[in-house]
Amino acid sequence: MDDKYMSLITEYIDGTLTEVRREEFETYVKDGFIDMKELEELASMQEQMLQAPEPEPSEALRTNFYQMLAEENRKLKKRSSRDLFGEFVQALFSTNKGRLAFGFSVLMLGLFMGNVFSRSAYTGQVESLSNQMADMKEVMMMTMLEGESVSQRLKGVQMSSGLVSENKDVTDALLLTLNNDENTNVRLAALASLAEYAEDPAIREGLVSSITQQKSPLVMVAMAELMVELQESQAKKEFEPILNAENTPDDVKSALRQNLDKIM
Amino acid sequence: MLKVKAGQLDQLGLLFERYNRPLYGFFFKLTCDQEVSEDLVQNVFVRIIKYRHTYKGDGKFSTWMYHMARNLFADHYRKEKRRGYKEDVETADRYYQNEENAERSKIASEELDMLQLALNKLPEDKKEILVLSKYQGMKYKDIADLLDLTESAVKVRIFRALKELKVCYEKLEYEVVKP
Repeated sequence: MDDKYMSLITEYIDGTLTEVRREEFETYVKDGFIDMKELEELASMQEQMLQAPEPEPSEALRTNFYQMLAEENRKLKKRSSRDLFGEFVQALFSTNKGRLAFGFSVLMLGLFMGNVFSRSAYTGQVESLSNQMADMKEVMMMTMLEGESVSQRLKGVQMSSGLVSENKDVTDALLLTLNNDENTNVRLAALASLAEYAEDPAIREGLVSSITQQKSPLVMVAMAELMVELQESQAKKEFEPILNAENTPDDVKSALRQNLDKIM
Repeated sequence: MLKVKAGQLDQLGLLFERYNRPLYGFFFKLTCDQEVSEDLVQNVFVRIIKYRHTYKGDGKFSTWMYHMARNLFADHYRKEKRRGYKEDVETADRYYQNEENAERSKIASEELDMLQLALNKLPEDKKEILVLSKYQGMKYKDIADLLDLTESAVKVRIFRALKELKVCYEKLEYEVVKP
């Protein structure tokens, strides 16, 4: 049998013949190419087939399906959170740029860490060393200030610069030198050294009270000049006895007066 | 289905509700085994989830789904064959062993059972095209897409399969009447 008849028969049985195809079909039947008897038998058998009840799946199918779906859903959620990290890692290592960026950041991190750690160790060492140095310097200075030779004591005063502000022992030693040293030059040096730190109230006070202790005119005049510089009004009172003393040379008195007048 | 593809797996429930019975019918007509058919239906949906990214949305969803169903059945068929089943005899036996079927066969007319028996005697490709066209009610065009044939070739095959079924059926009838 020709293929075109078979197609037509199938359409006839299924009832899907279009108007044009139906005419074609009927012509073939009339001409005896298609056996209507055989065709009707096939159609009735198909009818029987279609009457067959549709097989029903059991409830287990539905239960299993929804179980599986829930499981898959859970997996999907888990995966999506894992994916973020995975994507990041992949982005980092799959391209040359990513790898370069990763290497560079590791390098920077290393440099930074190295810097932080080594610097802290280094600064710690330096600090303790300079502390030791300062201690030694102080001891040396004290010894020198008590020395017999004038030049040694002068050196001692010079060494004190840089130690004064933070160390009360040094300040006291210098004030002691200023008040009691027998050599004028040493006293002047001590005064110059202390003058640098006159902003400190304690040192300032020590300086003012030291005025009355002075006997050398040179030191007195230097003191007066310093007081003018500091605009220390308290100093006027301290100078009173010196100005009134009979044994103070007149030149000194006038020099002092000139200076003290400048204090407001 | 496109929503499922986009990761909204819950939408698969809708597809399941629409297609689980036709799919089950498809497998059951081919295997005559309730348990196997249900497993195969489940596997179709597992595959839909697994391969959802391959669904392009251009063809019909049902065609895409039947593709998977056919592949799964082919896998199943191969496996059974390797285990040494003689398909036609075995499926028929199993059909009667299945309690529900036995129950149903009592109620349903004898002809219907004989039809199923005759269907089981057909070669797989003929059985399949009859199931798709008659029981699944698929259009020629969809069957053609699924089987990669022309529409007229589909019609020709349906006719040939139907005719062979009739021959088998008559033979069975003859055997029943004769003894």
